[in-house]
Amino acid sequence: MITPPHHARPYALPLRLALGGAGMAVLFLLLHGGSITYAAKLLLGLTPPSDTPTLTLLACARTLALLTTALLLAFATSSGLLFLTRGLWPSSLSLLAHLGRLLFATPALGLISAWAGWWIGSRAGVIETLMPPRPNELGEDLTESLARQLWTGLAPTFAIAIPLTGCLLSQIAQTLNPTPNTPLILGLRARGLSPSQILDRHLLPLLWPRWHRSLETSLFAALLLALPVEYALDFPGLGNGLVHALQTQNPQATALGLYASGLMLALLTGLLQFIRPRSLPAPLTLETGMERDEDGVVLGSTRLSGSQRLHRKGDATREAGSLVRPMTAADSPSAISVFRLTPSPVKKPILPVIATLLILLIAIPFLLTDSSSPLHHQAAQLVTGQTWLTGWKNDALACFWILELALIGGLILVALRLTILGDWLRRYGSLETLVWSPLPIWAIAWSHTSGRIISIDLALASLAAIALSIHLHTSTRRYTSAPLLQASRTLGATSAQAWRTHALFPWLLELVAFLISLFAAAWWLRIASFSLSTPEKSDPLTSIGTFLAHAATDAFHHPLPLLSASLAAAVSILFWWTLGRIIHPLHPDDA
Amino acid sequence: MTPNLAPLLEIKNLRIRFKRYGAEPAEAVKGINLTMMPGESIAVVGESGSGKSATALALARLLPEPPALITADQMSVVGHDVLNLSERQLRRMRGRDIAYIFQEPTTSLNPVLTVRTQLAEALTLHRPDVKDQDAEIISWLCQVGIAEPEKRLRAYPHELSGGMQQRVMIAMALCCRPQLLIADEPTTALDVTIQKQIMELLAELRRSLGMSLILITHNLGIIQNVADRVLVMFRGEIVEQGPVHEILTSPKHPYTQALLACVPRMGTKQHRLRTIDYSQLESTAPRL
Repeated sequence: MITPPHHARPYALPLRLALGGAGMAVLFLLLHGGSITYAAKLLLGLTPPSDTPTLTLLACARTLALLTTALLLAFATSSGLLFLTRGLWPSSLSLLAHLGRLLFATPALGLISAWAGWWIGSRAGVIETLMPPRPNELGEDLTESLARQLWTGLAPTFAIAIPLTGCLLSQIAQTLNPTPNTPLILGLRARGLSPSQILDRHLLPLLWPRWHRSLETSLFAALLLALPVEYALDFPGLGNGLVHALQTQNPQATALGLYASGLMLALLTGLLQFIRPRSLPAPLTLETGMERDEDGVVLGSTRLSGSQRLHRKGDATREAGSLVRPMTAADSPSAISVFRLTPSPVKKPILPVIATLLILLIAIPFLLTDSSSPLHHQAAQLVTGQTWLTGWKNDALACFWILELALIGGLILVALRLTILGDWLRRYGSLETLVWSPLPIWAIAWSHTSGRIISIDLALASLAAIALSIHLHTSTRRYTSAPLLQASRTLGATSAQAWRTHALFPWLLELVAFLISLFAAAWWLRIASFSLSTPEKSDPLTSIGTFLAHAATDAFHHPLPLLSASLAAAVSILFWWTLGRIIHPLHPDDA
Repeated sequence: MTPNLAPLLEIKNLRIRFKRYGAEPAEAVKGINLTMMPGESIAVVGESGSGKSATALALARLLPEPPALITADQMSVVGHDVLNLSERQLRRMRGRDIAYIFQEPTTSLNPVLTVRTQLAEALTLHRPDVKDQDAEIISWLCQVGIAEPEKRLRAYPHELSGGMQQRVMIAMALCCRPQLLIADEPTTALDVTIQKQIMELLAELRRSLGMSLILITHNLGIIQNVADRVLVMFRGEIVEQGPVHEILTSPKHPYTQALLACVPRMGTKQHRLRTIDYSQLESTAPRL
């Protein structure tokens, strides 16, 4: 199989993240009328923020602890599940795979279950909740206080850890699922190893590099997820502070939040780098985008495997000799890849079937209720979408615009790669650095503080354009250097003919799948961004996000608007995400 | 070859079929008979899809069953009635009595484990009596011609060349002192000079260790110095067998003749490389 050119993690990623965070913070302050000197002083701690600081070192430490605990919890849960089911290997893999998908979709399923729970509660006349009330802190004893503190930390930890666990479980299912006829497994069986020995000694060591990579790439999504989670569960961390800074339109605190985000990501990626698996082969180092040898001869990505091209200076890294599929741009952890920009194809589209059944299951009680009941009235509102449909439509329309802008921007960036600037972009891994940086948080912050709806769309379009340009560049190079095409050319076909016959259709399918996933990610980010807005200053019809912000203010008395809108958002995003996975084609060499 | 010894391998009427959805099972091997004496070396030649590898894998029941269906009147391998062995007994036999080398060393070695770990695993499984594993591994690496074996112990597969990886595979197969080594196209993924070195190494090790060897290949050019006997397989059947010199110099079956005629020779003026005419073969081919 051809290894695609890796727009992998750029070298010195922690340093790039720290500097990137600082750069974003400075840019943010400059856009809000500050000077470079002031920005530098603020970030160095020489000048305190003008208003009351909403972001403290303690808040950053809390979020750091939250993310670390969530990562550890996800790791421990996945390992535990693997350990419990390893006796049943390989028949347990499908169970783990389904569980992984289920957990990955937990936010949506959580909303659905909450909605169903509310409905059951409303029929019985009592609304049950697991969330302990916040009592008068002066009156609570030590036990109550400890329990509340524990809950304050546990709830967001679980909220972040559960999708991460799903992600890690999916990696298990992919890594431990080799067919008995792969050369490695055949060789091991021929040497007399039992299935459990093959699993323990050979397949599990292969799992760790994948998990390591998955944890590293998940950090960015986890940090982004921490914003709404901390805000919703009132966890006094960086995310909550950043949201409050955005709501109070405080540029200094927002800039500090961006700066702290960069530092935190740098610290966590640095830690993960420190525990990089020893069993992982030494990195095969390639210059970022190195496409010419010393004589100026253009090299295909596949020809860079020789030892003569190792250890060049100024490079991005790539892991060699691993059975693990090498990292591609799709593994880059920008928040846009929350939904996995190039997801794995769905062999059995069971998820859409389950989703449809769930929706039907939830809809049936409404269909059976008396038409004069208030519940039915509310259900009618839900079905006709009188409440959230306008926001939903606006979101959909905006995401189409984002996609169109991203297409134009992506093509421009691809064209830039062909100019003299392209060499600079390749040499320093500039676009890759942007994809790995916490740009979505910057985009959300900018759109909030600028006070213009268009800002978030433009920011998301820019992000999508960068991701798309990397995808276009990667996939085109991968297909161009496929042996299938080379074989076609050796038979006398021109490059264009070979492309048209063998690569164009799968390339287009891959692009469509990517665009659909991008659409889902943009939708999610738009809703997430608007849901953080202040209800008093936003129009509920702008987006489902703003509608959610409004509905959340009176959720305990009137939960239906919040829950129905959440459900609509979750189902829409899941639909697009799954659609992207279904139409994802196989690479010709994989087929 | 000693006539008084019991055969190392005795197969009668071996049939291998593969189940297919919505169709009759595909018959890959159609009732072959094979006897092999200890210390003997056999080359199995034939084109792709002739059933060579399926036969070799069936000897240790390595084909996944199902979809494979293996039947035989008799199938005795290194004293074991392979068809009636339990999975545990098969595992004990594999690696210790019968060892394999496959064609792609790059993908046959675990990329995240060092050479030492992978060799030590074979020793731990089948020769737990070896006390100093490192010394044993180094001695085997020396025997297969790896320079600076102490350094290579800690190397990962990607740090070795293709030829060295195949040498490691050979060391791994031989370190448990099997009685029968099956080399399934061991040189296909290697360049010509390395092919020659590997074949010479196999021949030398076979002589020095006194083991039997089954060499599976479609390359008739490499068997002369390694094999005593040649089996020619075509469409799941052994169509001709005999001493290597006889088969190479005076082949009787039209398929063997056609196979040899396809081998390009240096110094011979040929306008066009010959290919096999299957339509003619099917009408005239007898089983010899």
